[in-house]
Amino acid sequence: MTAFTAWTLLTALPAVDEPQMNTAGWVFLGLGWVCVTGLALWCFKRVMGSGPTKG
Amino acid sequence: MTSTDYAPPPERERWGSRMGLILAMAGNAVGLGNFLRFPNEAVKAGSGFMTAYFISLLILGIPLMWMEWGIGRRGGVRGHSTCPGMFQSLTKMRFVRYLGAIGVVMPLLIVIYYVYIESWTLGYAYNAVTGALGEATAAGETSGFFKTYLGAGGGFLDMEDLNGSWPAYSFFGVTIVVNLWVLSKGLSKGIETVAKIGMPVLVLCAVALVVRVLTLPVDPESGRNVLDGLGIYWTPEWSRLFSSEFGPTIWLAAAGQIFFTLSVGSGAINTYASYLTKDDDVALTGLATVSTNEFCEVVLGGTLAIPAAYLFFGMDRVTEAAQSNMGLAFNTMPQIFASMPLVGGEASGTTGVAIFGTIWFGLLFVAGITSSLALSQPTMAFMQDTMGLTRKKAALVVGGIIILCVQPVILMPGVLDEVDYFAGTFGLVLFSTIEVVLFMWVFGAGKAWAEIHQGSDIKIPRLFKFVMTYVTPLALITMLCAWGYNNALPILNFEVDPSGNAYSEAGKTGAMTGRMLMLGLLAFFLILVFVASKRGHYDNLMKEGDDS
Repeated sequence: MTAFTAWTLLTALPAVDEPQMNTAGWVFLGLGWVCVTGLALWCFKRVMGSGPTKG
Repeated sequence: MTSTDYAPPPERERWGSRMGLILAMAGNAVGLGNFLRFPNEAVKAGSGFMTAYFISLLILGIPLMWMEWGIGRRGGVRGHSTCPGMFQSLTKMRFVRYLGAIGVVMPLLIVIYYVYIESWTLGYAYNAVTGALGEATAAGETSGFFKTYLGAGGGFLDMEDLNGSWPAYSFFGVTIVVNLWVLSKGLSKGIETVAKIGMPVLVLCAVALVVRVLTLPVDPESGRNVLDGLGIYWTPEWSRLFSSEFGPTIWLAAAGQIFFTLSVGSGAINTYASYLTKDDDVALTGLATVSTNEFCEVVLGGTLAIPAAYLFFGMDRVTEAAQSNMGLAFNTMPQIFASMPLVGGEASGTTGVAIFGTIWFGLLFVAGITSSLALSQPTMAFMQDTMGLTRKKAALVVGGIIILCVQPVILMPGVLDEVDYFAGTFGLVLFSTIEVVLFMWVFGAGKAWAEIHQGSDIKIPRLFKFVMTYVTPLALITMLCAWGYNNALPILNFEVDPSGNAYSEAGKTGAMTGRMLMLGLLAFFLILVFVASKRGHYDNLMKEGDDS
């Protein structure tokens, strides 16, 4: 997440009226999607691995 | 260390499976906000929103989720499924049980209007299937269709308009009956079953729409493409985050969205967590809930409405649509579906509204019902645990309260907005602040940390202990102070409405009615907590001789 934030700080660009997906936007989106989806998959893998109910 | 000496009462309800619990919790969190409020807030705040959003998730969302799971399980182990008892289990100060009453009233207030909005999605799914919505869209009458559907919502007790509200009333009736029926079936057979079916269906519907949106061709006339639509909020721009002009708005919007989307601060998570046993994990399951919600919001919700609206209608229309969650869902989306090709490049028209509209409104209904069930459960649990009602009687009482209290929401303009603002927005921050202070400072950070790690499947990084002890409360108190400084007096004095606009006469009456409704219900539950105290309902928490 630190790298995530650092990237946005390093690649700051001025706002435009018409949106445009630039390289920084793609990297930000890619990291966001990968982090969120990866975390969800990791959690579910751990949950499935630890049995139906623990206790 | 946490105590392990408290056996739950034998009749206490339990979750059937851990996956069912996670899906029910995720169902609580994944709601209309993921698909409507999130993209709209992102557009309104503009570049920088996503950075503030992820930081808010780390310092507010995830810590609060763990705390609420910890508080909820602790209370449940001691036989208390609602916040009055849970708070009392943290300290022997008697007044905290009355603070806990807010955690019963607030989800009830939210569910009163939430079920009504949820019923619109059912009504619209029905109208998409029958083709009525498609015809209205083809005629350019989506706005008129919405007004006709709602009928009485347009005027203050305008009885002439009441005829037009019968569709809204009918679908509300169906929605509330379905909710109560599920609630009356209980935790495992009712809520968990709905979550196990509903959540996969919701994700499949959303994925189907996302795939269609992402594969839409470039608009030949304007040259716009759907990927640039994603750039509206994904293009990072840090200077806005720290500018005095935009910064506060962006941070407040991002933090507010985190509260809304994760359903923290309402008392609903605490109640669901109270049905765990003392050795059930809360750290990993809490994180699984957060990540499932974030997947549905960031990946799915953020890729649907706004990018498609940008492709077909351009940036001006996106900015206009983002001003209203309901406008986006019920007016703009049918127009998008009519413009969207099924395959190839031809607009699908009424067929598209029928197919995509059914998926979209069906998805919103499933997202809505899993949330409304969670929001109803604290009142259900309070009636069962504290008042000794059976599950079916408790469901009838909850239904009666909702049906009675929803009438001003339906009939009077301004009531819904007022209740949504105080219970569904400001109230979440206020109640979260109370929870954090009680758990991390009154109960104690060390014991709170141990409580969350009791039976844990993962070790939470120690940095989060610092965040939960200092950063989260500081951020919450800052938000409350900012509200107090900027908004409190004008809003409390009826000078401006929660949107910052001047009140109309009818809107002011609605706002006053909304406040009376909120105060009336709060007084009612404070009295019930008092009665329960006199009956000795909280005595086990006072006699334990155990602060662990």
